[in-house]
Amino acid sequence: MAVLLPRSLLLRASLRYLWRHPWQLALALLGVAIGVAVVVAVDLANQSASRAFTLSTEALTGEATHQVVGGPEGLPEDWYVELRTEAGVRPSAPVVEGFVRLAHEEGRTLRILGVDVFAEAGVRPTLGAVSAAVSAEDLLARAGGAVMLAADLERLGLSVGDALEVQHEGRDHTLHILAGLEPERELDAVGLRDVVVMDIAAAQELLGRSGRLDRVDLVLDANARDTVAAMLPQGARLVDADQRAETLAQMTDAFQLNLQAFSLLALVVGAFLIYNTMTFSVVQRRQLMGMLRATGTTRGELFRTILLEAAVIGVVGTIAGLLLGMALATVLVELVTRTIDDLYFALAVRELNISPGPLVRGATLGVGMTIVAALAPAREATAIPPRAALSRSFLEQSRRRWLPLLAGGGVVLGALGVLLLALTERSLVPAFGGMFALILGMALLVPPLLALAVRGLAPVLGAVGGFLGRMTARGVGASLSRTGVAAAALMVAVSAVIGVGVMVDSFRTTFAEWLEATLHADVYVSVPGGGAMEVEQRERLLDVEGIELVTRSRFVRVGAGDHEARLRVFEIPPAAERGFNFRAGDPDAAWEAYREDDAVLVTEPYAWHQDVGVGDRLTLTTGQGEREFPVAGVVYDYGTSEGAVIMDRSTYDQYWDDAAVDSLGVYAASGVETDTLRERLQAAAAGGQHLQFQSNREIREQSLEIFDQTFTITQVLRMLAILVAVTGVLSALLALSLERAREYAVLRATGVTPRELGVLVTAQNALVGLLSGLFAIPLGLGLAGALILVINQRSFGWSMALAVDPWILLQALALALLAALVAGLYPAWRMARIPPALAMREE
Amino acid sequence: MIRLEQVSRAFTEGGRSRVVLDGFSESVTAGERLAVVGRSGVGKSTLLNLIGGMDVPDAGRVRVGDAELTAMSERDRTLFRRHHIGFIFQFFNLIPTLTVGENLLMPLEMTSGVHRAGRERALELLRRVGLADRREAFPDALSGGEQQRIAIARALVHAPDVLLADEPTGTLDGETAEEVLALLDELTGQGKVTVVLVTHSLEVAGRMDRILRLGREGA
Ligand SMILES: Nc1ncnc2c1ncn2[C@@H]1O[C@H](COP(=O)(O)OP(=O)(O)O)[C@@H](O)[C@H]1O
Ligand SMILES: [Mg+2]
Repeated sequence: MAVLLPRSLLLRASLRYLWRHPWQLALALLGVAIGVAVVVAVDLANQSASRAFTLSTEALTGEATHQVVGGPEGLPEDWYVELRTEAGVRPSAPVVEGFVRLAHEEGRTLRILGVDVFAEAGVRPTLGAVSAAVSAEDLLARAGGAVMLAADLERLGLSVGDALEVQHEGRDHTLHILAGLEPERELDAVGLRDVVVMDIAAAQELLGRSGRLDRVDLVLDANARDTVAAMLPQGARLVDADQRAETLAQMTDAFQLNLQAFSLLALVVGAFLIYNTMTFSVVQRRQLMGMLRATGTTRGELFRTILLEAAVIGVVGTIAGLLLGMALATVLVELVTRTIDDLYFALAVRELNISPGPLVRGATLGVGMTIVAALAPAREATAIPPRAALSRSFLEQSRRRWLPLLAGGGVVLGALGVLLLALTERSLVPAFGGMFALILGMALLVPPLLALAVRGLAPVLGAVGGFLGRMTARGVGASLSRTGVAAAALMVAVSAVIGVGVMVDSFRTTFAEWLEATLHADVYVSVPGGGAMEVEQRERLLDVEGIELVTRSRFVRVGAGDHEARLRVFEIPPAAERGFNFRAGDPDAAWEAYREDDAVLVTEPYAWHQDVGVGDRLTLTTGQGEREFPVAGVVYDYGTSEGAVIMDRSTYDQYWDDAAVDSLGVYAASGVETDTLRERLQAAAAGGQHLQFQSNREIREQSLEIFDQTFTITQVLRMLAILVAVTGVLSALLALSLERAREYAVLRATGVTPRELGVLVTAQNALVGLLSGLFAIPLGLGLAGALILVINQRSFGWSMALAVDPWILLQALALALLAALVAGLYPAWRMARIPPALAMREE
Repeated sequence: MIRLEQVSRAFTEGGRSRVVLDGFSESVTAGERLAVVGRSGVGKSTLLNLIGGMDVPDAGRVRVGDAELTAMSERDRTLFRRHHIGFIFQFFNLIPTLTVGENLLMPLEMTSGVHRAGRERALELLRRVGLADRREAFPDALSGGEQQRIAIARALVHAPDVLLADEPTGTLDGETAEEVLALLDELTGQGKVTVVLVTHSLEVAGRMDRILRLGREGA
């Protein structure tokens, strides 16, 4: 090891150098730290969400290897008795499951898990242990008898014996707390959060599912599996428990991968900072290094010294980044959970789980990236001839020869990126690879473009601002190694802002248009928190005066071969047909098949994820066993990224014995105001099951609100990318003005006032900002295209129309300018205070 | 023309104070050419800085023409310098991002503006320093001697009252230095400009009207 390390005096000199340039050092550290922090925070948040999900499925599934899952009608209780007693299949545990809302806490839901504690022993031992904690009499006899985690009780301010008011399907219920669980295994302590364990009969009563089960959890070997498979009731499916959890978990994979890619972007921008700092430190020490080379320091020693310096910055910055990342993750985990909650399934993540994985990954990336970024400057150091007395301009000239090479490399990388995006089919990783190649390629193009732009601008600025104007333009071009890096970092960050901004905006526009087109009824009636409407309520509503038409909707999950599909059962009046836009299939033929021939429509994400198209046949587990349904069309739909199958009510009624209705769409008769209709409906429903009545405008607004909330996380990541970029620009501009201090001193000596000098430096910064912003526009649009046409399409299955709001581009331009100006404030201030006598001092 | 009265200047560095000039008085009449010699570190550059208003004394007064620099604000001193003083430094005189011609016009643009007469004067000076054909070149394409010749032209282009030169040939080889000084001598010889020239060379000093020795006894 000792041979690899530079001589200790050399090392001391180099570390002292860093220490003497605290600004540079601090900015480099900050760059690494923020980059690492973003990566680690996103990773930790993702992991915490995944872990919460895994623990909760594991705790809820327990030891079960298989599950018999009922369709919308559920499983008949008798079948379970038959299974357990006659076929003797054990362990086998029946489950009734549902969600209730806390009456006193808006928006909070609890999962009701109705079980037979005596059947739990071999499946969920923790729940089996409940029978020891609570007297069987209590559990079985008390209506609403409930057991929860002791920790949950404490959080809710409850103790044993208290009552808990909840709502289910618009009805108020009272639960009675019988005991608090204190499970030994962490799995249960986390996985059973927000779960209310009840006796199966009490749960059936609460959830309105008497005589029915949702599923039966089983521990089966191959033989027993066959036995169960042979005796399945109609409409039920036997599924592999692990596989079922897996499919569910996979839904969020694409979303999490997206977050990770964005976090990597922050790290890439951070790498610019390191490159910048290290290059600057080498340039500044050319004389010293030439002298060292003259006195016998080898190239290898110099190379290693620079790398070691970088490693020190990398390690210190990474440690800070890890700490910062953990803090940031506490915010992100909430946002990630919220998004998963909105997009996929209910998830209770209460705390950040700090596991070593993300920390190790973040640390490796941070230190690795730092060293990679320092390779080029370290090589540059070894190229310094002994006793160098090269001037800065000489150096810049030698770098200018690189411009064509940079341009060539940039074009090749960019083209590679486009190819990767365009030519790969389904997978996301090459798509992200392509996007990064595109970004990197464009970043390489920035210095040559900057050189061209300022060459063109010099006469223009000269005409406007005299020699100061000319110096502004030429100064940017003369220090390309500084300004180029600053502009590239800023360009990348701003293009990400544009790309994501345009993508979110396009998505939002598409989503809003879709809502507008789809929501046809005047008033929608549903149960708050979801669930079926009671029959007598429905009948009362139908009698209300001024109704033109009522459509019924039902939302269920049914087995569809290897997965479970969301089934949306609709009654679509002919006038509402045009609210559906077909991505594939002839609308006229499709509607006819849909109404007459039991055909279904699938939404675009469903078609993407399940790889089905028009003419394919879907196998669904109906109340009469498995049946095939032809797919008549693929329609655009932005309701769920999981995708859904759309079926006509008459088809559904034919194959399932389920009269339930989740929502009514009420069309007002002509001349009846929406508000009047709503008031009448509300009056008719008063006193019964709680219902909500929303106009289509309210639903639209609410949906858009949820949409915006879902995208909060992208906004946060965008801000972080900008923060890294501003740091990068600050460090580059600071370096730039420091190395030109003498030139500025000459200006001061010849009579340029501090204010004029400040204006000059600021104008240069503004020019860098403005040009970066301009360069960012094409890349930003390219990224938006890639995000919309490739990444989003592959991640979520949604296609959307690219809508470019010029306002976003203007904002981005202003952002780039502002970032450069803010970052340039300090350097400008500092330069304006340069003592003119500096021009007299020796080198 | 230039009058320093009881000027004192001390620098503190690392907590220790070092007196460079202590109650120093001197005057230079208009059109006089003064050579300043003395050992390194004795305060020659400090003296030039004070005369040029780039630095202010801790005590005493500095007058250049009618202006009392020690009574002026930083901004006014800068503007005074802009109009009345020309500088030649030992090195790094020219702005690397401006061409030779632009460097030369810079003082004009800041004072009278770039008029026809100014352009002609600049061109004439370029001719006299023998570099008329390098007008479009950037400074880094010029040799050290050529750069210093341009620096002389630039220092004189706006017809300053005072020319301050701080070892303008310090980094040049003997022959080139000779050429440059001959040029300086030639361009300032008619008594139109007051010159304060810091130099190590006694030979060069001998060409000036008077020699000021800074040293232990002088400070
Ligand atoms: N800005 C400054 N800060 C600290 N010390 C200075 C400064 N300027 C000059 N000095 C010190 O003042 C003394 C005279 O410097 P200077 O006038 O440059 O000498 P010279 O005669 O070589 O031109 C030197 O010791 C120098 O170190
Ligand atoms: Mg000196």
